[in-house]
Amino acid sequence: MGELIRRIREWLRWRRLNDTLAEELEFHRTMTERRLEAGGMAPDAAAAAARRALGSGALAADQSRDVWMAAWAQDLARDGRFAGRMLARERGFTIVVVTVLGLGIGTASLMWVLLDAVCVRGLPIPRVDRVVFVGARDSQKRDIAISYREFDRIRAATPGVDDVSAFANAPAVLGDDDRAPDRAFATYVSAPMFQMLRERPQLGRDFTPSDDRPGATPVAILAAGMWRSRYASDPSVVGRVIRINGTPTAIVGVMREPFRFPSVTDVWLPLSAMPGISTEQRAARALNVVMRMRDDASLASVRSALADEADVLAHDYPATNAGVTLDAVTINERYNGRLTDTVWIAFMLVAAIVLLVACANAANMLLMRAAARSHEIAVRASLGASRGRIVRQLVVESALLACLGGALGAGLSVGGLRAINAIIPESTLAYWMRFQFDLRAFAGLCALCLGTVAVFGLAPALHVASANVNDVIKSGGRGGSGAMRGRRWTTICLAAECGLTMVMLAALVVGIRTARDTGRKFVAVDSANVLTTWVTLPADRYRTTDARRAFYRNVEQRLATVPGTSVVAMAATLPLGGAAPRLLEIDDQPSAPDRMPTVWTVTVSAKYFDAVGVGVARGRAFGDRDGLPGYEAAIVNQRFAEMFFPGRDAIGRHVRLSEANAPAAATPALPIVGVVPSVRQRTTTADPDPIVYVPLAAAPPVSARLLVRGTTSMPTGSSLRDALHEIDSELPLYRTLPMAQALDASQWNGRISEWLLNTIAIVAVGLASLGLYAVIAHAIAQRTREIGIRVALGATRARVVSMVARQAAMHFVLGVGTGVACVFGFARLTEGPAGAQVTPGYQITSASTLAAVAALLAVITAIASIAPAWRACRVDPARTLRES
Amino acid sequence: MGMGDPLDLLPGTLELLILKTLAAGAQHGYGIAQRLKDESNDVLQVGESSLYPALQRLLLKRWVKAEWGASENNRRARYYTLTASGRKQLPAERADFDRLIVAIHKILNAT
Repeated sequence: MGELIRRIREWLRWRRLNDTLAEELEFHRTMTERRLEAGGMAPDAAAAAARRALGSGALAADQSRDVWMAAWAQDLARDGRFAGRMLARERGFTIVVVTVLGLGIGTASLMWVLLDAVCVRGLPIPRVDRVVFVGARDSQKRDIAISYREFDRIRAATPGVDDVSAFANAPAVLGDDDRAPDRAFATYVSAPMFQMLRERPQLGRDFTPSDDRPGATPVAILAAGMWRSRYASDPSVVGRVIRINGTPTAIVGVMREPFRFPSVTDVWLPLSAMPGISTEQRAARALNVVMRMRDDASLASVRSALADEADVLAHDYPATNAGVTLDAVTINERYNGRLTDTVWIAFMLVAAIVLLVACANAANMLLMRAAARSHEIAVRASLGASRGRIVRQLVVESALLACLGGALGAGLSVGGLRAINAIIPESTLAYWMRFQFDLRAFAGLCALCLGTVAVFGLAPALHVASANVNDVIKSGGRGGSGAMRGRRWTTICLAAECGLTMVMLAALVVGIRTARDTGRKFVAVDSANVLTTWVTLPADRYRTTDARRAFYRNVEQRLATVPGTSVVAMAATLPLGGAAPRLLEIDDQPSAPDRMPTVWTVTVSAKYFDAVGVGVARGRAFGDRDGLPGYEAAIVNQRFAEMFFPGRDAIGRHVRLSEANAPAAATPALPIVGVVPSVRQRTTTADPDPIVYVPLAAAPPVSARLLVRGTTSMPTGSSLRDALHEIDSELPLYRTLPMAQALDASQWNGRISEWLLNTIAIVAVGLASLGLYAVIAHAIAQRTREIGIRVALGATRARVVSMVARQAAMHFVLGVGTGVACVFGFARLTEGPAGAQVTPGYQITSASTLAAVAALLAVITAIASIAPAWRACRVDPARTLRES
Repeated sequence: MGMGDPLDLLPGTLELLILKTLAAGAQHGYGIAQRLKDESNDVLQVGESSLYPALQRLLLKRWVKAEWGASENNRRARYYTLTASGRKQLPAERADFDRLIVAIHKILNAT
């Protein structure tokens, strides 16, 4: 270890080592010479004898140096230093190639990290392929959860599996005497869950079967994150009794970082402690079931056993189980994003295209330089450099270029990931989805770029090897068959580059247009001076509908008295915060259950539409009594009215809403009392959904968003908290944010997409302009002599500029030509079987898209030709002619 | 080892001899070569291309350290001195060498 450090210290002071050795050997020689002179030899003879006696000083110095660094490494270092000097001298070339490679590597590795985290890596569970998720589907093939009785049967009747476990998520409130209450994500799990996942608590113990029995002492296990943030990683928390949803509960364990199965859980509780868990009711479907297959079982055998079990259940309990099927998939298949989703295909394509463009670009520049280098290399070859020596030099140069590109790429991708992670709010992505720099993928991409650079970087060596050194020297690196061949390749690379860039730009133009249209149009809420917070009502004190209704009424009245408050409202979710799907039946359009359309519902209080500032378009808003028994009412959005009552008045019609599994007849018919402007509830769809707003009093939710609008300024969080704690001191407020911020946070998905689109657009434009610049600049540089002659013969500046312009125009035409061809090819390639959902005008082959992209390319070409044109104008005929 | 030496040394022997020479006090490269030559009655004439790499190896192992100083005739010379670990190493190297010699003798004297 110490030896290595001493070696490295010496490498860093290599020049000093050389000087030291030289001086030492010189001293040695002088001393020998003096001794010989003292012995009576003539000075000249003594000097010669001293040299003879001691052999070559250079050899001694070499062998001394070899002690510190192996000879090959010294050669490599020398090549590296030379390559560094070469690259520093051709600064423009180096910067362009490194930027191009860096952008390509950075973008592709960023995309890979996202793809890997969401679609490929999966859950960090030992032998994850043996863990399966049991899915149930109803007669209409919709995913449904599993009831406790079904879970019992699956546990008993599935052969070849261990540790069959069920889980269900629910919000919970953690309370202690000495701390403010916290809202937490709780998951109720059956006892063998952690054993099945092969996870063990870092502190305390796992759940035991006796914890998971009705009437057992309440216990809980904390996630590491909650342990850290709420209890400052205090180990004595194990054994402490805290209140979870008001119930005194003993903490028996703490899991390890970053385990938060199934997604972002803060605290786990035994399944038996789940409020309302019904071990009897077959229609109460609330559970997800996971289990681990034994080595002798196969997924096929488990699936067929489950299918048989579903048949038995359907036969025995037709009322609840008719048509319900059971199936099993591996847990990664259940939780991973699908690589075949359009968005991921698009990401992969974009990443591949950017990388290809970058490689083509780099190859092009290296080829162009090859023509210029071949002269220098021919000179070196004629001076005695071996082919191996020249190739090694070129390889080192290429590797250095690729390394610089790789370093830039690493920096870009790390910075990009940091930006993306900053956009994602905490506890939104499942614990295993981490956007972290992936060294392996990065190394793979670097290898690809290194390969490209090495192959094309070696072009001059091959050229010299195949051509007569004499000819190359005589031609002065200008003409020759090799240069012609190089130019042909350059043209092909540029055409490919333009084609791919145009495909990407066309796709981006369409993407940006679509995003702009859908993103802004339907979020027309006025979020100024609105503060939002999230309240979750502990189940023990607010078990009944009446208790919750009374609470919300209290909150409304209490907050309205806070000075400076103008509107107080509650909603199950904010705009863009999601909505609950329901099956719709319209009074005079009865339909079979499997034909009923799905609409989305949002539970809101009376003043909600005032609070978000959209108002009511027609009819009226909810009143205080709406939603109470006998005062049923519903409000729909304009999208709903257009979809279901085109050309007619929606007000006064009746709708029935039912959950996927419950019979529709049981729900009351709701008269539509108002129509409101369309506000987007979900971020994933292009069009706004048809939404039915139902009054809060009809079904007061356990967890709701509170919206408080100030008259002139944003209400303060503390005024909100004080008022609420007067009503209930153990009520946690969660995510107290101005509404604008809350909306932004819920749009993180869209914002990341937008950020990526913008970044890629900039990268694409950058790569294209660099590529065009390099080619045009090179073409002009090749003609420097010709331009010199023309100027000498009286050509004006305007003539020279028009020459450059012609050159640029030629490349532009070539680029647009291949580009258009590529766009049409790409459209054919990605054309869906139906292709129906493409909005006209948003096709990448539409004339307006192509025109926009061509215009962009024209601007890029113009920018790329400014510098070459300027250089061509400053050609000094006398100097140019003298030089050649 | 060294090319052109009148007598080739066993590997590692030169380092041992240098350590032994330096045990008597600091010395520069030329001085070490002279001492070896004088004390071996001109049998061991160590060339620069053996001596200086050997000194680098000793520096690398940190058994000796080097400092610039003034030589007897007031020229700048690089003086080598034993470090504490070099001093400790000398008997160990010596023991290894003795074992080697005994082994060689055994083979040569076998009948």
